[in-house]
Amino acid sequence: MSEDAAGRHQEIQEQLPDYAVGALPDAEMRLIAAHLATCESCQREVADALDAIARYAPVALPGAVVRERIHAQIERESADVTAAFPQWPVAPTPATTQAPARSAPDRRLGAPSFAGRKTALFAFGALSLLVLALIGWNLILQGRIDDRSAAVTLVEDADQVHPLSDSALSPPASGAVFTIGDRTTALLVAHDLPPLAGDQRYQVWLFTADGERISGGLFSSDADGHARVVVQAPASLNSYVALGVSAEPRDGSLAPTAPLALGGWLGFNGLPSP
Amino acid sequence: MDEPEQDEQLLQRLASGEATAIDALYDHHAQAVFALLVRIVVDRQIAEDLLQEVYVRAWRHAATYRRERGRVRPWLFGIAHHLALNELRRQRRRPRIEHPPEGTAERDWGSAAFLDHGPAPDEIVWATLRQTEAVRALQRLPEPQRAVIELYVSGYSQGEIAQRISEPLGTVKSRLRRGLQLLRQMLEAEGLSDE
Repeated sequence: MSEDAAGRHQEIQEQLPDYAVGALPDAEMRLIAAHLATCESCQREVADALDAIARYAPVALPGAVVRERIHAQIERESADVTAAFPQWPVAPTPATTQAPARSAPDRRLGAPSFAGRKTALFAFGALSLLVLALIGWNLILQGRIDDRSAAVTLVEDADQVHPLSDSALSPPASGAVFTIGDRTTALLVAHDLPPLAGDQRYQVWLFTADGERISGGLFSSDADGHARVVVQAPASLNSYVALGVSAEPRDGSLAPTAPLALGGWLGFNGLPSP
Repeated sequence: MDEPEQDEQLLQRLASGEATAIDALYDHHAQAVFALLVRIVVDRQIAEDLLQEVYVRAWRHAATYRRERGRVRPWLFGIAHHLALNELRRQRRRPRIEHPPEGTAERDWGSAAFLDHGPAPDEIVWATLRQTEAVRALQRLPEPQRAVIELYVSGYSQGEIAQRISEPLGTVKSRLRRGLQLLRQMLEAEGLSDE
């Protein structure tokens, strides 16, 4: 760590208790959030502060109604997913034990692990509804293509929806990819992405069965961590086995340099048969 | 089976579609998560809304939980922290909507069954006992560090603590940081840590 970086790290350490309770200006909150994405010791200190608050803050008890509201929302969302599910055909997915061993993407460099299929299906059902509901609303398209109508077309015509349920973040980000046949463009929808430092952007990665990681473009999320991005691939999306997103320097990287904020399978075209 | 292991099993049950497991997870941690939310957003009603969202998200994302990244409790704190900071950002961008004082109005949740009459008495007793246990560890900290932690968890920023105790800001920052580290070490030594 350079002297400058060490000095900045120390400055940030001193601000972490105020960061933990949101007591800093937005700009500083964003800078510290970006630092935390890659600094485990600072993550630990924030966790210590949160733990101390949870243990020692004056006793505050939620009303009994909160539990009922949680039940009601879970029931409602479960019902919504059941109703919406048939509208979106699901990409064929392998057994969890099968895919990572066969697909070459390197986990050390942040390839997705693809767990939680059942929850992913629920999540993607909910996401499908959400995307349809929001389609006319303030589309945020960044990266290589900045074309609102392209995103609308991709959602309306999509014949495959791939949930992105793997996230190295805590709390996890979530999302989905909408693809059409063998086209080279897809719509990526992401939620709960943490804010980035000013010199960073999110980079989309396309993983081939041979372990290659190909950039699918750069984008930024909005202030609430949402993003809708048209991904432009060099070849048909069918030729990739997985898609991931990581925080990278503003101009992008040649390969992921940070854990995947988001990832998921695109399918198994190109993989050898079991 | 200790509580962290029970929590992991609860998340596995949620991930496998057993939504009723949310109740036990709520019993284990809702009070701590709520205390954290109230400390950050201050408004109890907003904190209750966020608490609801924390548990719904835990249900949605149960399958993404990884033991190697930490226990369930800090995982829930992480979700809560993210939501609370987002809420603060939203509040700064829009005019504040004042809620009526507690007891003067009841929120309309669309059903008479949703009228809230506060926590049940047994929940209050249990929460008090849990806090008493944890306070013993805090009391063993050196007084200057304990004092700044008590002010911090009660709602003061580091700058406000410095003003209140008439000490330089740098002194408060170092006491708070060192105090939190010591506290974690003591809790770990006594098997009370969540890590």
